[in-house]
Amino acid sequence: MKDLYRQYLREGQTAGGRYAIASPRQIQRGLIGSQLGGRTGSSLEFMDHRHYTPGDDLRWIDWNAFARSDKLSVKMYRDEVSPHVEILLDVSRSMALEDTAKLHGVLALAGLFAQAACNSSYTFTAWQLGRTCEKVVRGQEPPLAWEGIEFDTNSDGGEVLKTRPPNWRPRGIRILLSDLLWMSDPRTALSVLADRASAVFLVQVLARADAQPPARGNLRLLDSETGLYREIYLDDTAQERYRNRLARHQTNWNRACHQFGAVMVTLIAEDVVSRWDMNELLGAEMLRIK
Amino acid sequence: MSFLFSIPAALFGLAGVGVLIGIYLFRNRFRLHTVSSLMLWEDHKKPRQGGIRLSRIQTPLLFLLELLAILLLVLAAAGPLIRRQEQRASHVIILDDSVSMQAGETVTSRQAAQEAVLKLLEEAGVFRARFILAGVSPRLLGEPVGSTAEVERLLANWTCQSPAADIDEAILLGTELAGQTERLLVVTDHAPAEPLTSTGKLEWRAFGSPRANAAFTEAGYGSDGRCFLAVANLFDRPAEASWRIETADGSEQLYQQTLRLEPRQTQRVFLDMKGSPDIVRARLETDALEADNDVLLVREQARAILLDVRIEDETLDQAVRRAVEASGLAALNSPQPHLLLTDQTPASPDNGECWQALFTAEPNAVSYMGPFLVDRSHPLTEGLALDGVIWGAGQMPAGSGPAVIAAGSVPLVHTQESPNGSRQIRINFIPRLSTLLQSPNWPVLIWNLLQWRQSYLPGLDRPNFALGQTVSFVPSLNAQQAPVLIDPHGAERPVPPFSGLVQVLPEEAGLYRIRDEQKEYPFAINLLSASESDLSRAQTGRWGRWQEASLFRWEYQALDWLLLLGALAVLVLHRWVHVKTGVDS
Repeated sequence: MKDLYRQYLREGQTAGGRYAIASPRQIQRGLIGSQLGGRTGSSLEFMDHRHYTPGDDLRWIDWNAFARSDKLSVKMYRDEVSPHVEILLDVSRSMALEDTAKLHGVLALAGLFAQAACNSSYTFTAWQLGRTCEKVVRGQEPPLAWEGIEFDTNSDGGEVLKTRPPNWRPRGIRILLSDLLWMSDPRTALSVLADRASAVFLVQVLARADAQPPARGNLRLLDSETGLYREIYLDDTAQERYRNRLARHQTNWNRACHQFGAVMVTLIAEDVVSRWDMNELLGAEMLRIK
Repeated sequence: MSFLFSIPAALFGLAGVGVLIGIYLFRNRFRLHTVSSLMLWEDHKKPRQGGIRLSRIQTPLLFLLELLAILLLVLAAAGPLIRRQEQRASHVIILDDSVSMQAGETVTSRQAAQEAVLKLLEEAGVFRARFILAGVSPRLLGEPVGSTAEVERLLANWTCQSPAADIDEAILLGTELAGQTERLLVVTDHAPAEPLTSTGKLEWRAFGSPRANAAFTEAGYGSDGRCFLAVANLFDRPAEASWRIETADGSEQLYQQTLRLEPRQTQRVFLDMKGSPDIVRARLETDALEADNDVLLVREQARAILLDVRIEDETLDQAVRRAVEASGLAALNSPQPHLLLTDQTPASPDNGECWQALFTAEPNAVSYMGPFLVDRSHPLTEGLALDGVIWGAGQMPAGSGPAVIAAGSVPLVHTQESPNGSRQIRINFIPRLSTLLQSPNWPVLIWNLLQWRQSYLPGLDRPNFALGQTVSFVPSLNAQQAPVLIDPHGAERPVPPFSGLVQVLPEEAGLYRIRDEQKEYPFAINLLSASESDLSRAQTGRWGRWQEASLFRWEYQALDWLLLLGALAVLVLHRWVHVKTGVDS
């Protein structure tokens, strides 16, 4: 992996030193059930029940509650509410848009969230969403140890998640760092992200060039992922049209997030790496001050 | 030509290349801007493609493919044709056989022409060629040939010795031979006299160049030893011509002179060569054409007619004798005359040697004032003008054959030939009723009579001829075998007489001999042609190119389909590249 990437991760890690992952406000209910881990926590403290779903370990069924209510329910302990953080990094080519800080920003945020997870005593695993969703090599170690991250794919993240949903830990916090510029329906990705997750954070990382259309004139637009060209004439109307389309796109994602209980924030990469202002993340209760 | 275009005008379509270049150069320049995704850029306004400013070509591969497609399409539209290897090109080649083709210092027109012909046939690949020699009259040169070795062998007989070249006749002959499938090629040293009709089958190539030349254009050597020569400057600049007369073998120079000649001037020289040999040679100094610088002259031999006059009528006798003596053609009172002039009862000629001219005084004579019927084709009537002449004649019994001169139905002069070759001339004439003796027609008539008889004496009518002239020889009467012609190279061939006359048409200059009954009669053939010696009009050039495609299409194979396929492939590739690179039009 490039040294520059490590540098960006280090910066994020450094910036994340004062933050921790905010605990999810409530345990996600109504999600599809998952396997409980075989380990017990160091302090096994009963917290709550939840309805039994097929596949749950029979040992955790509260038989007393069944006897009383004739309804199967499962006991939940502390270690279930100490979630694992899945940091999902979109490694498509658009995340490395040239002449922007997008690559810098997304890697720095990945480092930041990894550090924040550590600060919260959470475990984490880094994933890269490219042609498939696969773990980053040594992605459970500190960011500087990560290997194999390459921003060289041309894929629709939603379709990748749908086609091959990764084997995430249930009840985890899933953080997706991406520009979300996919053609697929946002609900396709969110349904996978939210499956048995305690929280889903979507951080849309855009370059300033993504957020603001270029200056007027004849443009030959090159898609950084597909290599396709399109020649257009950009005037004021076209600029406005672009902004509207971006806003609509973001609105669609927001609606989908709301539907699946996810939280979405849009950050401009150049602002992130220049000011390290995490107020939006704090405001969205993705992070908290340690 | 192995490759050509049937519609060369279509090549103007290559102007499209310039248009394409202009389009690409004047295309609006686009600022390249890389975006994360084009998904937010759909339905945007398409820009104008062109402007007024020059721009660098932004899609060179597409430009090159479009350029290639235009080239292939234009070439296909031009109808490219390639000669089929197996197709035989047929030619009828007309060769100028005249002497002027020998002109040239280092390379003669003939040599240059032969090289060009061989090269043409080599380039044609498989070919069939037949040759026509265009001389005074055209003739075929051998059989059709199909290899350059055979062509070289045939062209060895192309000697360029003719005094003229009737190319038009040769073209007519060639056109008949060529039919529908053969090309006609004229090889000469001058331009066509008139523009060629654009049939597309005839091509005219000339290999001459204008050159100064001096030549002997006339020559004669009389029996009195008087020699006559005409030297011509056949160019547009003044010239000096040095010439000399020497013996036939060149061992002794007899005379020498240098003439200064103005442009196009001919100077005649008369020399008294008494005591000189019977055969002399005149030479001009070397110039562009050697064939006209050398003249052989044979002294004329006097052929006096042996004459006998037996005329009772004193007036007539005197008139006849005076006319005979004035002519200088006859020797009177010969015991074995060639011609007997008499007014006595006709005697049967005992041999063919003696002709009889019989002056008759028929009964019932009257004077005829004319008009007279005169057979102008007869030698006896040459130069006669009988208007105003009174001819007294009687009623002569009709003889066999038409009269030479008649007054109405009354024959005045009548000839008759006997089986042994002798002739009888009956002249129905009464001097006392006529004014003929007082008119110039009388000596003319006697002269014609003597000359006519002289023309039947054995031998040549004259010993010096120009190339292209027919040589007439009268063999000895009662000869046992045919005369033999000996050419300048010593080759002999018999020349049998026809109707008592031997006629030969020598094809090259030089000294010939005819041997008849152990006697040899030399004669010289010389070029003596001012038109052939005039090299000032010679040219090098090419006229009337063959219209290959339209007339000889079967020799070629079309290639347009191949180019169209190529253009189609290029267009498919263009489309693939266009899609691959994502250029959105």
